[in-house]
Amino acid sequence: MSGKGGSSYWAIVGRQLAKNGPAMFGYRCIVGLFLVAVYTPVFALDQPFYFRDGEKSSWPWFTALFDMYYVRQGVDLFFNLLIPFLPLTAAAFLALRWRLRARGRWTGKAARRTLLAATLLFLWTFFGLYIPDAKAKQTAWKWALAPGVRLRPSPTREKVPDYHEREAEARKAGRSVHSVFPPLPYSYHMTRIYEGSLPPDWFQGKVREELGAVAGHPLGTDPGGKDVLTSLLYGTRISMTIGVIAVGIYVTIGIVLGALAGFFGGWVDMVISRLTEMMICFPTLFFVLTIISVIGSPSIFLIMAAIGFTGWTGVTRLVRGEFLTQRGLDYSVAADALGIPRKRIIFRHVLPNALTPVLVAATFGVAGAILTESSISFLGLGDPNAASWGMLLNTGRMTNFDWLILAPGASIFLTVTVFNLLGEGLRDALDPKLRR
Amino acid sequence: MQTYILKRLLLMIPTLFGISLIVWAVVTAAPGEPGSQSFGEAQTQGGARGGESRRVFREQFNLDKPLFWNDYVDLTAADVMDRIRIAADRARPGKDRSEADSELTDWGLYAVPALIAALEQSTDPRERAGVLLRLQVNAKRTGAARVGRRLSADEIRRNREILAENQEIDTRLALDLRNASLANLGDPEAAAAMVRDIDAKAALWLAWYEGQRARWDWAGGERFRLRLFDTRFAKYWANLVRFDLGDSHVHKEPVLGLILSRLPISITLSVTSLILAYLISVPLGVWSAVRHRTRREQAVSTVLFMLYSLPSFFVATLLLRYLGIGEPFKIIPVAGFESSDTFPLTTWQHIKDVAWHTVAPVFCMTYASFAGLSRYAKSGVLNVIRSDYIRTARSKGLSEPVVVIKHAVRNGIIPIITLLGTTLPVLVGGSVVIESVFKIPGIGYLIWDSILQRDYNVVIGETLIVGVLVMIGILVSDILYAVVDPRISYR
Repeated sequence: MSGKGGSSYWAIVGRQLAKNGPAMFGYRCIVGLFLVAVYTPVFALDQPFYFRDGEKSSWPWFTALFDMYYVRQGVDLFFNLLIPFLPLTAAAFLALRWRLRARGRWTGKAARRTLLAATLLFLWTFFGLYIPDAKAKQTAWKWALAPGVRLRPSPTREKVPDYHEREAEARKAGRSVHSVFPPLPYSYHMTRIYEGSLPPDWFQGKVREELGAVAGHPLGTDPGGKDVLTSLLYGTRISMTIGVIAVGIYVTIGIVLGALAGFFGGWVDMVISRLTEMMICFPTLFFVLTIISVIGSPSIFLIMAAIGFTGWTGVTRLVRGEFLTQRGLDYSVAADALGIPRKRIIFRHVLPNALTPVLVAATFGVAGAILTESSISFLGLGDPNAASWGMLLNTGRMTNFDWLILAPGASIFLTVTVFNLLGEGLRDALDPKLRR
Repeated sequence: MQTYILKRLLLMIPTLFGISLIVWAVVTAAPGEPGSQSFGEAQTQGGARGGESRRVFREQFNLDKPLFWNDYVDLTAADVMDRIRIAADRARPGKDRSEADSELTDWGLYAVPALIAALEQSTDPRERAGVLLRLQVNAKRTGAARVGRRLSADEIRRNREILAENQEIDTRLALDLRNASLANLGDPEAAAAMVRDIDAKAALWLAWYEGQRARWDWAGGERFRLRLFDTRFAKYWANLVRFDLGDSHVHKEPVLGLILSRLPISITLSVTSLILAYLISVPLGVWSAVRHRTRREQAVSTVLFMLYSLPSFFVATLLLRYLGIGEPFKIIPVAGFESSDTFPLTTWQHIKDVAWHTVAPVFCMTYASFAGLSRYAKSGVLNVIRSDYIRTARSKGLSEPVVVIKHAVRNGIIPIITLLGTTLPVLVGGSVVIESVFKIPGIGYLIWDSILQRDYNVVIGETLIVGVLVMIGILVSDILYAVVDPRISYR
């Protein structure tokens, strides 16, 4: 699979993909969505970058992002941490490459190691910040292990202040005050009833006359007074996470089960195939809803896990079929005849070939998982603390406000479309019959 | 062919077993109490019913019983004393105490002999009081109760007996707690009265147990039967074999009947949209395959692709918002499967009324599946249209329509029959959303409503039934496939 001499399979696939306009568009949009998900707080947060009240100046934005008492949601902390980590990792990666290349020691192995180290460091910090204090204190080793635990402010600290209020107070008291807020100075979990149900700035029509409008809400507000654009931006995080984690779970399960069934055959295959047939009988949405209702706490992670543990049937069938085909092909028979151990045949020869259709299925799967989660939130059965697009659309359905229907609906539609576009492109690129 | 169908039918049995097993696993995997945290809008309506619904659920699925092996039959005095001490120990964390308490409750009648033994062994009046209070709970039997069906005369007689017995426990055998708080405050006289009462009641309980002893004196075989069959697992299957899915405490009727009464509506919707989807997608797919890579075909493909990605709940919301509520249009009805008052309508009017109500939901359920299906139909026809026999047909001088319709389509379209198997679960899953939005009282709406109202028996029962229905659907599509395509040979 490495690119030494000639063009490898993946290089051909890459070239095929690059020729496909819509697929490349989808790919770019996905990268864009990911960046939006990561850098959302730059655009929308109720903490100012810089705040000066009289003589005292502070930088609340930079501390609030990593403060679990402010952030609350693990998903948000994850993406907030990526804000510094992403450019830092990229810089470290490039610097290292530059240094090692000069000495001619830059290899794929070195690159993988660098990325692995960065990932581990990231997870280390993340879990340090994420683990609740009580537990962190019980287990002293976590203090030693995770730098985040030490970075965290002590739990007795007051709640993160409302800087809008502070600014107003200081103005009233006649002090000089200076603040630099993000363009949308709101948070998605803070409700402000007095700014509820406002149409967007540019909105015309009867509703506007009835409800009035306040500047600064490009897409209006929901009945709780949350800014819709802010919720949409933070919703990107939820959707991306749902898609990637749920699909990650079921692709892993699917590959393992499918590989076992396809490689060993016999009774293993029998059991796994029967199990797959049984699971297929449950419609995903139905089954996920049942699981959520029985377990009873609709947290976003439970929804991910539920989608992940119900969706593996397709991948299992795919991998099993692919294994059966690959096992019969000359190269793997030859490998067997050469006396190569089974483990090596599976991991080095059969598995990489069987994985290509899984890649396509996974890309479509992300779109499907996003749809499933949106449906659940849309039905009012999702995580009430997460800024999900489906939940916003549900509010729109209840209130019949155009901006609450169109904005989240369009977001879901576009996200699903770009993933489907990429999936489509990948499928075409991997299909030798369509090669141009 | 016959052997294939027979084989598939026989394979249905293990699949059915597996489906039930998966549902049981979901019920059992629920950590502790289901629905401990409520869902958004259900908070108010479900909150009050939460306790009751949990009780009904626990009863139906015997969540108080052990999983596979009933070891409650060998409870000892030490076991119950241990739990009673934990439950009464205020120094312990609340979680441990309530766990011990619920364990004692789960043991139910099985704990009675152990409690009596503990009463005999213990001398500490506090401990004896704890045992007595437990006995008052555990020694009570529950009578038969059913919703929507009458009890038999025998059951009514038994219920009367149980009621009398429980009343006796509550009055004659119950501990007199009037002195308890005074005794706790250190009043010696009240404490002495308490001790006297405890001794008296303990004697009464021992006498009561002597009279009832036969109930717990299991013979070896009986004991084994209890161990094996009075478990969650065995009881679940016993219920299933009797088609007993429990009662819905919201609708006050048996779950099975409730679901069966809602099923025709959902099946009408699903089948209609399925037929429509196939009717539209097959010609469309053939057309796109014939006109492959023309500009018009590409435009149609793009539209189909967009439709495929368009979430149906979004479309449904849009339809309701812009065509349903009168701003700007009021064309489609907002809710329901038929008008609220269908009595004065003639049959024909009634059909029209239902059709009118289902236009929007059927549209929403159809468009996504026909977008997907026609793409498959297209690729199916495309696959065969390049093959040699088509070229042969053309070179024979057959006209293009004959080549396409008689030769290409017949073969190319076969694969989309198998898609019936995968489209069906998607349709049923999608019906939850569509029926909830349009408030159509089918099974999709039922499960949504039941989750909000925490009617767990309905949720579980419906999952089971939907699983079985989809299984039958897949079976039918497989058999159809074998009928249509004689090349498929099954060993």
